[in-house]
Amino acid sequence: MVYYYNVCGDFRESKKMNGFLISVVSVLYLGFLFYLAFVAERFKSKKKSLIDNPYVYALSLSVYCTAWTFYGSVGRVKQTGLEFLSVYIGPTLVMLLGWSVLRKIIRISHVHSITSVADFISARYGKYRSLGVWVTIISLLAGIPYIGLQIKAISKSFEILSGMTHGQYFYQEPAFYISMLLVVFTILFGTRKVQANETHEGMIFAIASESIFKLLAFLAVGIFVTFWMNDGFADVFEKHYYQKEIQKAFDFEKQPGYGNWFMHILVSAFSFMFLPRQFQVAVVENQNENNLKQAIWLLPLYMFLIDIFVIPIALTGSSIFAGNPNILADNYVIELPLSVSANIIALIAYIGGFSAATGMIIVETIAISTMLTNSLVLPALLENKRFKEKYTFRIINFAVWIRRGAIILTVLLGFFYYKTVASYFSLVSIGLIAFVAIGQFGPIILGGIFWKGATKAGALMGLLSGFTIWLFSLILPSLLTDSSGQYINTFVAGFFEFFAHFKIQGFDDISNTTFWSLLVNSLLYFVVSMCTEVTPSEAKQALLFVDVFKYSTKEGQSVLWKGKARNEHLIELLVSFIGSMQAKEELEDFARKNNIDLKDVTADPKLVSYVENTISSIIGTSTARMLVASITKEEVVSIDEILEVLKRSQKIVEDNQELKNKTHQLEKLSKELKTTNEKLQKSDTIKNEFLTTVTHEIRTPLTSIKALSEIIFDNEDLEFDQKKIFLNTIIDETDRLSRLVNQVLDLEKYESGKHKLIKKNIDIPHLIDNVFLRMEELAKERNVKLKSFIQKDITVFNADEDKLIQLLINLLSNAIKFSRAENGWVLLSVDTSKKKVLFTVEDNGVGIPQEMQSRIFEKFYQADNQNSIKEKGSGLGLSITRKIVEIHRGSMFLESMPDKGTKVIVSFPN
Amino acid sequence: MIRRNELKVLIADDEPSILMSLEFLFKKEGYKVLIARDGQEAINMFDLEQPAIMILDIMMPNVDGYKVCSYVKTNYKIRAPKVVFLSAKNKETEIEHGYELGADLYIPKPFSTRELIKKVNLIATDML
Repeated sequence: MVYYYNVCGDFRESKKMNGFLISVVSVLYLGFLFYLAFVAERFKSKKKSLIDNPYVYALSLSVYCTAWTFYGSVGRVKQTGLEFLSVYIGPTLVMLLGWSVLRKIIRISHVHSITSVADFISARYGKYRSLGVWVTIISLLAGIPYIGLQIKAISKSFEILSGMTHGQYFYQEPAFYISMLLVVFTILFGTRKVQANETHEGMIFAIASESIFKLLAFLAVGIFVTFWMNDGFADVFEKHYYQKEIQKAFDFEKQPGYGNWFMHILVSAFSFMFLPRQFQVAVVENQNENNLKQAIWLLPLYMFLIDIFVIPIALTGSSIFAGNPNILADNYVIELPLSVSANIIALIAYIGGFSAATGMIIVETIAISTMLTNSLVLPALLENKRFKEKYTFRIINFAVWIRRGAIILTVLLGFFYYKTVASYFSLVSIGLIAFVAIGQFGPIILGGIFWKGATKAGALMGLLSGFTIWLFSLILPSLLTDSSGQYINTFVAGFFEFFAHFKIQGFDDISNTTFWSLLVNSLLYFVVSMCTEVTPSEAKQALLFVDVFKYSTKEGQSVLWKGKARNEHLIELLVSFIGSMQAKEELEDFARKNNIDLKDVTADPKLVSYVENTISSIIGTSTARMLVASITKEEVVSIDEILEVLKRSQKIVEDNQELKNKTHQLEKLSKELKTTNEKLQKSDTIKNEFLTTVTHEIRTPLTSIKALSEIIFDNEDLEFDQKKIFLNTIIDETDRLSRLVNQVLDLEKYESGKHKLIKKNIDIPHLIDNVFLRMEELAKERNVKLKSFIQKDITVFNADEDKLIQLLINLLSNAIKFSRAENGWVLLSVDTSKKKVLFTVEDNGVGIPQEMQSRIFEKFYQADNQNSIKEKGSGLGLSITRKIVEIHRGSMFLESMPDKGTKVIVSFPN
Repeated sequence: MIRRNELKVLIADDEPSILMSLEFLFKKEGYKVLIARDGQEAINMFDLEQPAIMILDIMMPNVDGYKVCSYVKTNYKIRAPKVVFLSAKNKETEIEHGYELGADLYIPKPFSTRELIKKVNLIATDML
């Protein structure tokens, strides 16, 4: 199959598709976009956002891939081989390594209500207007050809697909009508509502959808070419990798060097962030910083997918169309399916390229028109005193119409460029030339967010020097040559020949310009900044930008305004922008949160900042600055004052963090304190209880002794038997008293750790005999049978014998005292288990009520206990017992059932 | 001497030795002595015998002296007995509490037998 095809399009052999059908499809596609945008806006009005998620965010970032990617990548492969990847590696690196830079820019822009890249730069350098103007001009110069390129792509793809050539005049071109439809779309979804902090929900949703379409379309063509026209990737290389030209492109040895790669990656990284449309989608339209986290891998994935079939298409195309130099590699994406009459695939390719082009045009137009309005036209108008006096409070009406005008103008300029200037430049170079221009923003933006010493003079010098070099080395040579490639006169020729000396070996024109412009740009930016003094307004913005995470939260920022303002003026200004309803609502909310009375005559500085910030989000920072300045009497805030305020606000941010930590610590401390206090109180209560008990216990025998002694003393005629009973009681009570004193002393010894443990090997049977001997009398008295059981193999146990005897006596006497009246018995058994020696004292007595069991081992626990069964010693016996167990590192357990009996098990490690 | 043998004295204490000495003392003075070993026994005995004077220990098993006192003072308003607390609890708050419950006398332990007899005799004289 042979086609005759001429780029200028005079004739061709066969008609491929019906031009009318393609037009209908294009218009239907645009209608579908309108519908998608409309749906998203509807959702938004119901407070649901379709775009506030990482997927839509990453897809909207993919507006980076324009018709240049869709058609141009294939063309670049044919020229420079793998190097086409460099412009995708740049953004990938930005996402993977530079996401924190992007996050910082997003945070700054949200805090300061930034509306465009021009706005960002001028806001950073003290809201300096000239910078905004120059950034706008450069963006326009870079953006218009770029838009022209997209229109050209739409137009050419239409021609190729339909096989028709358009008439000479603009109204004969479908691309013109499509451009106008895009103007309508952009005006509708870009300027429909002018509201503070309003994002373009519908537009972004439509753009994200377009990113899906162009990806699917490219994949469809790629799969078609790779797997239908060929048999997979390997087959593509086997069949089509034979041309010298292509082999040269893929051979690194024969390429000029890696310098090009580096420079291309650098400018594409800058462009990915700072191209007007990229800044729009990545920063201005960003709904949530967190969406960035997912985009870090989603965007590189997108880049990978859209590049994967580029090489197969390029190889196949250059092989099939080898004999036909009129078919440009840029058009292979459509030409290849057409060459095998796969018209549907070709139409899909057309729609993909169409969506890539329209997406770019829409976002770029919005971004450029915003810059034109906010950074160029409005500030210029406000410079005019009469205009300012008359229209300060009606500026919003101008803003909307100026922006609409700017949209129409931008697209028309793009179309005009396509019709007239475009032929001077190749398709591919337009994109890269624009990248280099935008790259000039790189140093002053990165410097601006990391270096506080930068000044507006430095920024302006850097920017303009880089721009000039760009203009002279990439634009003028093309414009100042005639059709045969000669410079138009000798002066111009001499001029450019001089500069040719600066050409670096191994760099292409783009890399060369990139290198020199960025070098001079950065140097001048640095040197001039060092030589000029930082003014207060610059210093303020420098601090707020560089230390954005320190001073500002998303919710609020430091107030650095000084002067006099009237509340009514501020409110009127705000109302003129957002309407009285919304203004009232927002003002009341703000006043309540900040404790401000709106009825005061003079305005609070916080309110001034708030109003300026709100209207900044609509008309840009420098215009907002001018407006607020015009209705207030401002004073210069000195650097010291700024630092003071910032220090305070930093302290607040830090204090908040610290406060959180402190509160946490305090909570922990007070909890500990509470526990300690409770413990102390408990031990205090226990001590008191102990004292009360002890005094009571001492007084009781004392009382008896005293009373009985007095009786004997007063009654000389007392009968002998009576006297004997009384005297006997006195002796008993005295014993009781001395026992008590001993026990208290013992306990005190254990408590204070003054006890001495004299361990020796005790013969257990002997020990038990000894103990039983002492208990014999008490047991007989209570009519209790004492029994013992000793496991045969235990004979010796290492412990303090006296203390062990005391322990057993305590336990046994307790058991005997609480025995039942008839058939009472107490059993002492000794046993071993797992390196332990167990002494068990078991009885069939009255038992211990459940609620008391847990407490009877507590120190000094007796007061409550003794109310029930008046069979007591001092109440200290068990406490001492427990202590003896403790100092032998043993443990003690209790099992008891009321009326059934009690079992106390003491376990010692052997 | 007045007919003290018509006056019943109820002594309630859980310490046998104290009971022993008090019983001896009051019998010797000519009172008709009743003995209770804890609070519950004291209440039962009171319901049965309606003694004129009660000598009460406070820390007794089951029902303490305070409860016995408030029982007899509230249930027998017209012919309530005189109540004498005899207790080792001698903090001010404890003594006050005793008087609040309607006690006529609060003697801390250890007490003087002569003093106790003298004071109880005075109360008895008032009643006769």
